[in-house]
Amino acid sequence: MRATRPPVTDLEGPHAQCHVCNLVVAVPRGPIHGLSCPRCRTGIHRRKPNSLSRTWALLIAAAICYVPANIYPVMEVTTLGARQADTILSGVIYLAVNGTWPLAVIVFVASVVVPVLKIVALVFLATSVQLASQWRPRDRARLYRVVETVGRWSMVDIYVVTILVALVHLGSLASVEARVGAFYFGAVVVLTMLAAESFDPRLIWDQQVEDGHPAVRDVRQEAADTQAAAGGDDGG
Amino acid sequence: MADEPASAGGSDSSEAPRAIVRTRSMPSIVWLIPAVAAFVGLYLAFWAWSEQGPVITIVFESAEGIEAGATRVKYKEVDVGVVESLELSEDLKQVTVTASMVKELGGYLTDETRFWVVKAEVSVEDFSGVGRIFSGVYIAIDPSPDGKRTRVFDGLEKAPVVRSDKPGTLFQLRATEITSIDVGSPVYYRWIPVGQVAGYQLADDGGSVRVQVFIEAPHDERVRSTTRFWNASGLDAVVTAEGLQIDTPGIVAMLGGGVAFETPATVNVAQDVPENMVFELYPNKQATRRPRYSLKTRYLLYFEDSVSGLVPGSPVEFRGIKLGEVLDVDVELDRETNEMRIPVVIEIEPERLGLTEKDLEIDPTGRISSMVAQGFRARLLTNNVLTGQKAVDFDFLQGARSRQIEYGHAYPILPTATGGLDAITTRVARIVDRVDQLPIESIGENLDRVFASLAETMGSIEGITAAADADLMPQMTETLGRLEQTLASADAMIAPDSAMALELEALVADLSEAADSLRVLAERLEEHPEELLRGKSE
Amino acid sequence: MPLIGCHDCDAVVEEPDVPSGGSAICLRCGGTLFRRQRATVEITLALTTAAAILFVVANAYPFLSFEMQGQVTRTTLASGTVALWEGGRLAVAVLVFLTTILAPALQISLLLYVLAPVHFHHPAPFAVEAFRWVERCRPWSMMEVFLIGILVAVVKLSDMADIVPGLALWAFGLLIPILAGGTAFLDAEIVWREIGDLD
Repeated sequence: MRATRPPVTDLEGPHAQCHVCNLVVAVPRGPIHGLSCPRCRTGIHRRKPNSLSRTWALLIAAAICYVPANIYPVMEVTTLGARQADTILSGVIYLAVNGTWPLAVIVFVASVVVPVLKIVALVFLATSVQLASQWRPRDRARLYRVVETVGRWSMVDIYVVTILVALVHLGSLASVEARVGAFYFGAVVVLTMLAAESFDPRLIWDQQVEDGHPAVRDVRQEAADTQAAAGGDDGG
Repeated sequence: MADEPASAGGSDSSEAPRAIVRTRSMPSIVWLIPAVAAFVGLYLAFWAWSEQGPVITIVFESAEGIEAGATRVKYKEVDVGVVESLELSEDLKQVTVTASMVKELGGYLTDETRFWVVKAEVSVEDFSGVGRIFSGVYIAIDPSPDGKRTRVFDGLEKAPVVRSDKPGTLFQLRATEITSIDVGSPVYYRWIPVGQVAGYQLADDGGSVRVQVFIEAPHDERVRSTTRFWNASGLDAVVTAEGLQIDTPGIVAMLGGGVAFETPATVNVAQDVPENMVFELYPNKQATRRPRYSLKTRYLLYFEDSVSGLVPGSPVEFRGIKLGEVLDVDVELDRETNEMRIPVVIEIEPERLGLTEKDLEIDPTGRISSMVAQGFRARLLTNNVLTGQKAVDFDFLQGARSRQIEYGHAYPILPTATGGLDAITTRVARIVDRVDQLPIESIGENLDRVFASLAETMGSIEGITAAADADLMPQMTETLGRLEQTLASADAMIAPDSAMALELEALVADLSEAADSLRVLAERLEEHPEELLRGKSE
Repeated sequence: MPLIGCHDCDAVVEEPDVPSGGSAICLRCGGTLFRRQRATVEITLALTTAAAILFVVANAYPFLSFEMQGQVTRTTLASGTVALWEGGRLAVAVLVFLTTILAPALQISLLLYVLAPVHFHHPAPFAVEAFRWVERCRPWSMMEVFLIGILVAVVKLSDMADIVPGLALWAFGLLIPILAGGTAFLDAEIVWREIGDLD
């Protein structure tokens, strides 16, 4: 036990952290069940329950939805009776062709690149955990943070369609309607966000092997600092 | 604390003294932000509340094109309100539109205010509105400060032509048909639009169409009692002495129909007319030169002469001036006398005889009765020797037997006269007068001879009728033949477009009449030769 | 010294003293442990109040008006949701409503509900549940993405019609950084210590 190595709340140790209020509590060793945080009364788990299986399920669902999201049109513009349906890609092309290519880039990145990268990244992360990989945990953690932050930006295209539908209300001259592609695209965004939320990044660190031993730390007398679930103070 | 040195993962690993927390007693400056936000928010709320205008409901038959939250209410192209919502009435027959109006309209929402939907159609009144085809629909308002304040309105289906912002006068026009005229068609004066057609209905008796036209001030003062209105749609092509003249209205009138009027100089002095005065709507400008009158009366005539050539539409004249026309020619069996009679229904415009509407109102029949007493009779005469078309001719006959108008039938019966001896004498006298007036110098020798022989013929006819000659018949036939020859040769010798020709045509007409009367006379004499002496027993 | 755990890698460390404006970083994985801001509650409360007012303004007034060939359409923030709903895309309408109206509204109102009593050292009932919901709403409150979407749409439409930004758009534009600032400033630990069941 290096003094420089910080203790961890791990799969076996005497500490666990409440995921809601971040309080570190002392818990009995080994797997814990049915414990709640003294401060905020939410259930305490060492890791998010069923993290990997939930993440995989959501990722698969998101991948399935990704295909119709790009095949079906997301919106239909009717001008003087002529209808034109646009998928995400054709919308990007329209923007690129009709002048404002920075916008085309924004929409392309947000609506095409980001969802794919999210899915790929989460698959990578889940796989890496599944295979107990040791590869660069810090970078993987960074990757996870990026995925978590960036995910919401894929919603841009949906909002563009929303505004167009709301504004262009000129009867037979021009009108816009959102089509089923928007539903699938929204599903992709939601599912990937839920997948990211259900992935427990601490799993990355659980596989770390140091000095040939699994990096499960035995936390020492810090147990004396914090009391068990009942009572407890803020130490010091 | 354990025996482990305090391991901090933080940026400072030393035992830094705990920072002293200073509690502020005054609120921090950051509260300025919400304060400003609150101030702005309240100000906006107050402003919006004070700008709030009244909310009204309008009931329309259909709400085609009206959208909740988008369709606007406009006055003179300015937005004055917006539709908030639409609702079907319970019986599904109407749509209730709820609209919020701007505050400034408050005093103008009365029961005289009108609303209508302006659709995207090319309307005659506003040809410049091509943009409206592409813009949507809006609701127009014609506000009026008079009337009772209200918040519930009945929407019109079409724009009202008479609006409170346009002063003017309504007049009524009578037309037989209203080809190409519609509500909104413009009314022109010297091809300037000065008004619009406000509406039209079939007259109660189905015999004509009543058209209401609205003439804007100050042009409504140009409408006087002698004003003539005509249907100005389409081309008016006129053949005049200068050639073909085409009078074209503007494109708008040609496409959308139109009415034009002018007040020509006439014998009558033009007088002011009240609102809703009735005028005749002529089918084209040419027709206005031959004025029609609105008052028409119908009479029945019985002829015993042959009416071949007399058809519905044949003219009824008085001394050559058109009085009206024949409506119907029929055959009737008089059960009492077992004779076949020929009733002819005519329609004349008594105003042409100088009888005004007032005269006829006061004494509908008095004047005509006195005219009949003075010898006012109807006769048949040949209008056109080529077609054989006949006309009914009225005139005062001297020595006519006293007759009366017979009432009690479908129409009053006016007395008729045949082409009798009186007629011939009068005619001959007229012909001779005319012959006297002809500029004979410009006619060739042949014509001289023609007229001379004509005069001779007339003279011999006189001689024949004076003497009860048994040779009357063949002689008269021969005379007739000669007459016809003369006419034919006279016709051939004169150029068709000269004034001479016209005179001659009139002459020919007259002669045909005479010839016809003679023929009739001859036939009668054949049957009743004693009449030569005793005159016709009528 | 109290212990603090790293969210991302579960390292447990003692809570260091962090001067105002500083932050503590986890040695193991680099994640931010916390930022300690002392005046946090008051500032956050002020900013959240401003955000609340701006949110009301942003929703009550038209935020874009679109004019073409004489036809004018005015929209509020909720118009998008309504239009999607009426067009039959019910699921998308719900999603848009959630992310642009409901989540921000909940976030703001619950935050006020929790923070105001905390500021006066008198925690409100059910503050714990309320504050949990605040945190739950945070990832689903996507107003800034909405704003970018609006801009993209406006640029797309600007050459065929007249787009006039309304009052609500400015309020919305201000609301986003103010609310973001408020939530970033907030030191949740302080709040939890106030409202939590530990004494």
